[in-house]
This record gives sequence, C-alpha cells and structure tokens, in this order.
Amino acid sequence: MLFDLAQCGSSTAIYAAGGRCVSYSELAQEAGEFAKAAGGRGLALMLCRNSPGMIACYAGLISSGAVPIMLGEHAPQDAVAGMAKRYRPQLIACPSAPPGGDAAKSSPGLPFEGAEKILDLDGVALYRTGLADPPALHPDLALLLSTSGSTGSPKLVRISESNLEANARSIIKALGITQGDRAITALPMNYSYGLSVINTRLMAGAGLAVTDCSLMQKPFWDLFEHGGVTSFSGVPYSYAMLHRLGFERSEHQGLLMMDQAGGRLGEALQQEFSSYCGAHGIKFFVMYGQTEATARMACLPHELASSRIGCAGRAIEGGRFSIRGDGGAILGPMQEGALFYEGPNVAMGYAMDASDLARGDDWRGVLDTGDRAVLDDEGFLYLRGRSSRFVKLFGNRVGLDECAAMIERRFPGTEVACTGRDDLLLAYVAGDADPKEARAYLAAQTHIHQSAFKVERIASLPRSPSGKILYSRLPSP
Amino acid sequence: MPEAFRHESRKKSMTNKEKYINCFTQALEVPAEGVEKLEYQGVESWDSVGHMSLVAALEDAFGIQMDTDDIVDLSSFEKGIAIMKKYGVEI
Repeated sequence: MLFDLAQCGSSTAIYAAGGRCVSYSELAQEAGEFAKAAGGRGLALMLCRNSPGMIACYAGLISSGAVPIMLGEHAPQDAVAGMAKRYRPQLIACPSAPPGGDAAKSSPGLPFEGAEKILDLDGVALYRTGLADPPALHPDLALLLSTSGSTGSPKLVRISESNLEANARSIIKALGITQGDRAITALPMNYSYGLSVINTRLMAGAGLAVTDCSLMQKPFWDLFEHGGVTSFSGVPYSYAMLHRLGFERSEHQGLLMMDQAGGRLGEALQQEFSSYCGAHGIKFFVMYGQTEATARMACLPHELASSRIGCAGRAIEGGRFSIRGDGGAILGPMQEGALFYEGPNVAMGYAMDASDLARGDDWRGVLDTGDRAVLDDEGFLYLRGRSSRFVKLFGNRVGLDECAAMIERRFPGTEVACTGRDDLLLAYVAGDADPKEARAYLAAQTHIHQSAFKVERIASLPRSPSGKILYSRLPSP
Repeated sequence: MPEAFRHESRKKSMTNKEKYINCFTQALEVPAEGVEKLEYQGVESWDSVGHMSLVAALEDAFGIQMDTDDIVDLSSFEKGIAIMKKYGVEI
C-alpha cells in the first residue's frame, strides 16, 4: 500500500485556511469514504483543486485500486470532454463548488450528461459516469498524468504504484523529509512535481499546508506565515514571483527547506536564493525531473547550491544518467548529447487512448528525456537545452506541435509553425487567422497568460520538398 | 519631437484615473469597458503572471515601489485605489 495514513494517527496531516487541522486518522477515514464510494478498480477522472478533500479523494482512490487521470479544475471544457470520451472513466471527481464558492459562475467541466453523484464530501463531488465499455487496466497501472494538460492533449503518462513509491522514497531521502516537515502546496496537485510534494509528505507521515491560492494572493501568505510551514517547492516562475515580492528581504520563521524543479532556474535567481537560504539556515535544493520519470530524477545537495550554479544535481538514489551520441553510443564526461535516465521511477509508457491502458511496461526503466546535457566526471548534470519540441511557459509544459494544431483547428485555412524558448511560444501563421485572435485563443485554451505567446503572420511556411516544415528557415524571433 | 519625450508629455496630460485604468487595460490586455469591476482571477488574463505585469505597470506609471503586503492585497480594481492612496496617489 502506498500510503498508510491510519498509522500516523493523531499527528497533523493537513493544515488549511482558517486554522483547520486534519489528523492522519481523520484523513484516513475521509479517504476511506471516497474509496468505499469508488468501489474498487476502475478509471477515475479527477478535476483537481488543491484542497484537503481533493487530497483525501486522491488517497482514497489510489488505495481502492481506482486509477485517477489527474487534470486541473480549469482544464478547458472540451479537453475534459475529449478525455472522457477517449478514455471512458467510470468516475469523475471535481470540486463541488466553483472557485471562490461563487455558484453564479459555471463550474468547469460540469455537468456530465448522465453522471450520477455518489458522494459529496469535504468540497469534492464524486460522480459515476455510467459510460459504457470501461477500458481494461493493466494490473500495475496506478495513475495517469498529463504531460501537457494545458493544451488539452489526450496523451497521458502511465505510472505504476512501484514508480510512485520508488520516486517518493528517493525524494524523501534526497531532501531529508521527516515527520516534522510541513510543505505548502504552491503547485497544482495534477502536476507531477506538485503531486510529488503531496506523495512524499503523506508517505513520510509529514504535514501539508494546503491552499489553492497563488503566490500573488494574500491567503497564500497568511497560510505560509501562520501554518507552521517548513518547506516550499516551486518552479522557476515561482522563484521569479518570490523575488518580485521581495521574499529575500524578510525573515521567514520556521522555513527550513526550499526546492526547485520544473525547468531551469536562471543563474541570477539560483545565485540569489542559494545565498539567501545559506544565510538563513534554509536548505535549498535544485532538482530536475519529468512526468515520464514520475516526478524527479536529480537533486543538487544543498551544500553545493551556491558553488555549483547552473548544475541540476546528481541522479537520485536508484537512478542513473547516461549521455548518448547520435548513434546511441554512450559518451564520456563533458561530452554533450542526449540525456537518458534509468531508474525504478521511469513510468510504464504513454497512453494515447483507452486500449493503451492495458499495456504493460513499455519503457522498462529507461527514459530518453528529450533533453541535451553533459555529465561531469563526478556525475553532476548540466542541462544544455531541449531536443524535443516543447517549451516551458511559466512552468507549464506546452507542446509546440499541439499548439500549432490547435490554431489550425480553430482557424481553418491557416497553416501554423511554432517555435519557442523559455517563457515564449512563437507561432507563425500563414493564412486567414488574425494573429491577435490566435494569440488570445492560445492563452484561453492553455490557461496561460497571453504574454507567453507571440503570433506573427507570414506569407507562407518554409517547407522542404517533402513538405516538412523547415523551422530553421522561419524568421528569427 | 523624440519618441520618448512625446510619450512623457502624453502621460503628463493624463489624469491619475486614466493612468490607473491604462495599467489594467495594458497589463491584463482587457478593454476599458467594465474595468472597474475587475477582480483577481475574474478574467483569464488576471492570473499570477498578469498580476506581475499589473504591479510593474502601476509602479512604473506612478513612480512607486509597492510593498509585499500591498502587492498581494491588490485583489481588485477597487482595492487598488485604496492601496495607491497609501503611496500618495489619488485616483
């Protein structure tokens, strides 16, 4: 069993707004109700909001053998509908009330025609969908995460219970998470890194300060200051926000640990936070991970945070990196090539539709990360860029080809080629689409701020004789 | 007239209210119509990223530096007016 919640008894599992405390035995009981309602093995679509009830629901579904597909509550409605149609989940869990409890606003993703509510507990409604022909699930399959939820891509990563357990154990060890730790949920739980914050704490019998507010909202900071928070996890953009808020100008009583993953932290911010943390007795960990490896693969020990700026750390326990050349040959230290990772946390593979859920372990513990990197002679990892086609926009992984396809679907008669770098996706459109409208559409569909997108019209896309888009011939940004 | 100077003179001729509204319409990329009713997360573009742009725009327009507490307190158009007052800016 992944989580043995009842074992931790009266210690606090969850602390939330308004001083609400949920003990481990209370959480176990609540999770048990979700598990009972779920009624065993089956597929469950979860539209997640960081809340105590949603965490109980997640723990309950996992323990009952249900396999959650985790999406954010703000996932575009057609993406949710498409996902439901493609994978045919028997259950859907979602917040019972829309954000802010404002019933006048429509709740995203709801209603599902024909769905029957079977439980409404602690702000989470659980529905039985009644969809016919439930998919066959491989016995090892425990969880399905989206790599690029914001584009509504149906592609999911298939994760086993042993993946979850191995990765959580390695992270607990790398960060030194103990029962006394209490992490604040600064990242969405449907995101692999955000979920790993929750999995590690529940497994270690530690605590979670749970909020769905962003760093730019006062309730987040009320919880941060008064919720006994000892650790913070964030993507590079979270650290940019902390910096903007003048986080380093104040003392933060009780804060003992900060970690960063989800993309490369700029060197200036890494410098800034490693020295702030060093001076205030806070352990600062730079990490590297991917959903395909359940969550995390590397960790830079906090003692080295300020002396190894730009380094993503060493493989976590049980994992191993290698750098391979174009022909697949293993390269030596300081030679740049494709980064591969081997470890017990490498997921089973992707799913593109319901029939894939019956598949076994396709990747057999070896992951081609799609990143370019070098390893030094001590095994420290330095990332050099991406070899595959997606960008990180404010911490969200967004597929370039998926965005191009989205614009082409919305504006028939338009051809689109996307390129990008950190925090900018550049779409070149040839045809009828109005660049301004296309940009607004991308922002609305991905739920990512407009400033991350730039759309330019060009006369035609440069193509090779065989019709492939020649990205190198696009105007330089 | 140099571009920068023209921009400056245009800015000077605007009232504080106009400048304030401009910050919202530009940072959040929303029309001026209905701007008074805006709240954090009330529109797609006013998320944490939009909030960062909005704060930068306000600081720039009024030559102020906002404290952490005020940045996270700025949860609506209306609330912002009271916060600006603390920095001696009457909207």
